[in-house]
Amino acid sequence: MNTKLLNIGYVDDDVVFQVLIKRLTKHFNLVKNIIQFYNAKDALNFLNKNIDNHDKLPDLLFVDLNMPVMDGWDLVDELINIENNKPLPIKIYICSSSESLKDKEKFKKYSRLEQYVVKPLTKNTMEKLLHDVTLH
Amino acid sequence: MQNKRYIKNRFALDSALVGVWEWDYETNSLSWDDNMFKVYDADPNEFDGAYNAWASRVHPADIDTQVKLLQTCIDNNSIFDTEFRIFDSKGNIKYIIAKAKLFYDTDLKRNVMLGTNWDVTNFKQKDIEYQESLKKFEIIFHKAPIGKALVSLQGKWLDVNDSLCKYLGYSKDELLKLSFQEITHPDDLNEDLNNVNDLLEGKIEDYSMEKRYVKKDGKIVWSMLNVSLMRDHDNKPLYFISQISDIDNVKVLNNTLEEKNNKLEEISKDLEFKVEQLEEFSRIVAHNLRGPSSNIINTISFYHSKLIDEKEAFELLGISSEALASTLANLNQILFVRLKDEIPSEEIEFQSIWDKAKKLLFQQIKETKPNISFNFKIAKVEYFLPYIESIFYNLLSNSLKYRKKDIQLEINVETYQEDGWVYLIYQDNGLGIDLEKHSKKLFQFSQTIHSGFKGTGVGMFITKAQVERLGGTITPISELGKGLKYIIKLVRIKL
Repeated sequence: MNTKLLNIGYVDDDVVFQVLIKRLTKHFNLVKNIIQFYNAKDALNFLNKNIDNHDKLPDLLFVDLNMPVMDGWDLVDELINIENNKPLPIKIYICSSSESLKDKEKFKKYSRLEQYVVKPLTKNTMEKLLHDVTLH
Repeated sequence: MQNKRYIKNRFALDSALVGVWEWDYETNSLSWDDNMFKVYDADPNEFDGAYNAWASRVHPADIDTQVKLLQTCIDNNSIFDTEFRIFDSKGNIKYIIAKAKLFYDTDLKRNVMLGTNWDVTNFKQKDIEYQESLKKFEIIFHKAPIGKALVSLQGKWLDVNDSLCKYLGYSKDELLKLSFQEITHPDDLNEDLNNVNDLLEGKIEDYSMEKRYVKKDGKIVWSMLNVSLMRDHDNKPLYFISQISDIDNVKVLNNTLEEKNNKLEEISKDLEFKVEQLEEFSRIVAHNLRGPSSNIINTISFYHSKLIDEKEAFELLGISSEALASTLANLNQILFVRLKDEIPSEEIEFQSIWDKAKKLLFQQIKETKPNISFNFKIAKVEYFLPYIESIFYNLLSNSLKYRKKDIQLEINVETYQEDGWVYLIYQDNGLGIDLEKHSKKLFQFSQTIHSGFKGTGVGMFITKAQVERLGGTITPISELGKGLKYIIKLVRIKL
């Protein structure tokens, strides 16, 4: 298989989630860098800074919805805004513990988004997800 | 001289169409002048001058009376003064006013009768029409089932019908001593008087309005009033014609409908509020409960998969379980606020509650040294003590936490009374919030607005729930970086 190593980013204010997801991601040998953001603003700043530096940008970005100050939806809106000028080679996933219909309905309206992943993000889910990505 | 007088008299008789007759009752010879023939519409050639000819023209119902009167006049030498009906040649009825008396004829050397007949049919017809219209008016005005009245330009009742008297509870005599102004509800008088003025100035032809009258027994009745103005030939206003009908039932029905509508609206608002609360709870469950619990699931699973070691697993489990416990405690608190049936209120003093909040936050106050001013214009209020303590504590605690580090913290709190409510105004010059962006988050569970602070995001959520539980509202006014002001409609003043 012709596999390329991936950069994976997580935007989540949940410290425990970040610790666990780092361990899980490291477990897969496909990963080059893990980029962790504890709030949406930091993520946005990073992406803006590296907009022309594709090596630094995450290939996959997992975004939590419920975050203080700027929530996941706000971040996605900002990213889409940026892409009006410059498309970014990032696959974006929603990764939330919310199973509310409101969020799921909203997700359907965003064609830019890859998938709505409901927490817990298990080893099996991650495995399948990475497998799908690397196949394409 | 004699001639001139005769011409004058003749002219008078001719223009009024008064016929003159002379009757020698001894010989029963009757002579008529030209006017008599005109009055009776008779041809002088066919007329033989006999008394019978006259009698044949008189209305059969009137003839006996007239004959008797003539006899009385002859017997008593009195004046014959009467009214009767005759038929003209075409059989039409004519009305005649007749006068006659005895004169001594110097030639005959005895009495003859001299008389006049005056055709008053035209007047009579007008009179009949007048009587008829009076009768019509009588029926339309006095027998009407709704109130009707003639009202003077000054407002005095000139004439009123029975319906109006019954409606207002006054006798006719009583009502005629009053003016409409005296029995109009004060709140409706100005509108009525304005209409009256417009009517008098000719700006409008008539007007209708819904208004209240005060009945004799003091009860207030809703009425529909229609008014028009009667003017004379010279267009000078004479009096008002008013119609007054009872619309109390319609009004009462309307009011009942309105009340029911309001109740429905209240219920729907309450439902909306409950739905909001349910959504809020589902959000809390999704994030604050599902979050930590999915972390626990993953921690255990990763431990089994040897992704993490035992020490790390326990550490993470500790954090997650603490987060769970804290959320549950907060949820419990909010449920307690929302579901508590009885909220016993007692008289609380704002000053002592404020002092207590300051005492509890003593450490933070010592560090930040805020300038605190207060003005409790309303000193005491009936309220649930734990809530007001919590409200003051949360407000003060937030001000101390979200202050601007580079300037002196100012806090101002005051209470006052307006529109039957006790208001609590709380203001600081801290970070404030961008309400356009965050007004929703401000009162949401576990939402913090400022990064870099260790906020639990529960304080204002609880505060709002507490204020609303006692029927009040809380409105934030703020711009980012310009401090925050809360207008809290605390509680309705008990009378």
